[in-house]
Amino acid sequence: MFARLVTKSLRVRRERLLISVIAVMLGAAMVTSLLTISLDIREKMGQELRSYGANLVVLPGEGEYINQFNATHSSIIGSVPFLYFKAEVNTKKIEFAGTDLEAARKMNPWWHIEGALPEQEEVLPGINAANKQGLKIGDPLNVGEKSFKVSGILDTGTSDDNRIFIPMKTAQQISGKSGATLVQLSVLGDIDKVIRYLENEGYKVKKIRQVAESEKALLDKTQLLMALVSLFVLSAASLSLLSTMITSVLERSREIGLMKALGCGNGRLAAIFLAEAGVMGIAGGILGYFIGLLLSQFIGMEIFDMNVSIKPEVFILTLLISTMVATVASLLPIRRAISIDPVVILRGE
Amino acid sequence: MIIAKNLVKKYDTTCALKDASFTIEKGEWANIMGPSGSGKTTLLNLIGCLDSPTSGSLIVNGIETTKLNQKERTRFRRENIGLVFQQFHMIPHLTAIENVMIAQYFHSIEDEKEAKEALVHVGMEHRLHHMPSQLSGGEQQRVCIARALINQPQIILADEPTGNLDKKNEEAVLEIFRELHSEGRTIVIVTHNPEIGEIGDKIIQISHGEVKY
Repeated sequence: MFARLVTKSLRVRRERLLISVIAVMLGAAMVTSLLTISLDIREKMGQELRSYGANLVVLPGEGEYINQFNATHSSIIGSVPFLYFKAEVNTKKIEFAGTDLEAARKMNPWWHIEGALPEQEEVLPGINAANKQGLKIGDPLNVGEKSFKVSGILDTGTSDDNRIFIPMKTAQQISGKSGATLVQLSVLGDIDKVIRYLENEGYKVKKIRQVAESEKALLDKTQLLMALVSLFVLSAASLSLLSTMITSVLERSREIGLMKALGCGNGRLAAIFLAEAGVMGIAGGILGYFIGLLLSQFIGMEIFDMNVSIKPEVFILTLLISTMVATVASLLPIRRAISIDPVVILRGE
Repeated sequence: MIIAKNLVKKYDTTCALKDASFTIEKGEWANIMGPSGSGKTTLLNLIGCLDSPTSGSLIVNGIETTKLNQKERTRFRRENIGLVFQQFHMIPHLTAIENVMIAQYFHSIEDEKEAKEALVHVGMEHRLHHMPSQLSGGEQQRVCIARALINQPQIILADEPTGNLDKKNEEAVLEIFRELHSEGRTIVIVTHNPEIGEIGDKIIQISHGEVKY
């Protein structure tokens, strides 16, 4: 009977139910994306940060490219130039990275390569790029008018997974550029001395840690913004739910009075309203979770250039928060329902 | 058995019931009669534990109900009293049988078979799954009587049960009350209708909050 009472009562007020569910859904979507980004991107960024160690990135002091990197310092134990550019694959612009792949692999020992490093007419797509293009080892790939073969798949756990790697010479031929976008340096010893030396040589230098830290700062700000938006949206959802339920109590005062006259105790009455609120909270929470996943994927790709993974704990947390919001919003209406005097029924008011 | 001694009910400065004393024996049919605003419904509310008196004593089924708190009054009501209202009062989104089962649910546990039997008893077997909006006034009142009876209460309280019914339905409803009376239940009816007054064992006349019988 309890389930019948709750479901039938919700069914007759389905327009209001829908509005409340949408309100909770918006709040839940914000919570899901906030939690996903907080947990997942922070974790991935931490991995990236740890794996980079104390390396440096050298950028051109003037212009777009470093034509020749010829700095020498005793602390520099390795250097790998990278040329980033976009080229057309199947009418879509895809990001490419040209480099000395053998040296890049040595400098980035955490790279996992399935298959082999590419030769002149071969490419090594990052795992995300391969998935997007549907590429497997041995598959052909046309870049502009040139044909290549996939020699392997690269998994770095970083944004490099979105790029297709090719040997530097080939990259320079396709892009028509002769230099490098940046040079990764492996430095052993006093890193600040090396930075000063390189800056004197006319380069811009960034510690990779700084790059990550600036991304971290961006993440912190994004998180703060999303937390504030979540708070406002959840408050709005809670107010919407509160007003729906207060209206419902007012409309149903005769029904509530009748139930009390028939012997319905306060606990049972509260349970009916809590269940109605719970249904709205859970429905809004589930819908909001899926919308939040899409939102977090969008934010992850657009702002942090990273795919976000689905985390089951986010689903549970989102449901808990949505249900909690619904429960809190129903407390005042329940108090009001409990205070209804069954005498009004006999009076016919 | 219902024993009222010096019952007083005041609303702010208005005295709705003044020193009301009367006795209704077990199995008796008592009609509370009087003009509008005389305190009839107030008295029925007190007997039904829907309200508590300002002072005085009211013993219903051997229990001094004036000493019960709100929770105890609710429990007492669901275990001892069956209520029938002038305006029927059904839950609009529940079917006829569900409106009967809800009283079972508040009392203990719902039993669809028993609820169906109660509706058959009041001649509503053909309307079990109809919504209140699909029922006539007489049919709704019969569902309400089935609901009032479903938990086997000893006392049936009815506030103008035929007030909104035509002659035919009024007769059908009164017939059900006669049957309940013959089964030994105590029936207390608030009514303006002198024909009902003639049926009962006793008339409690109220005027300006004062009981005369």
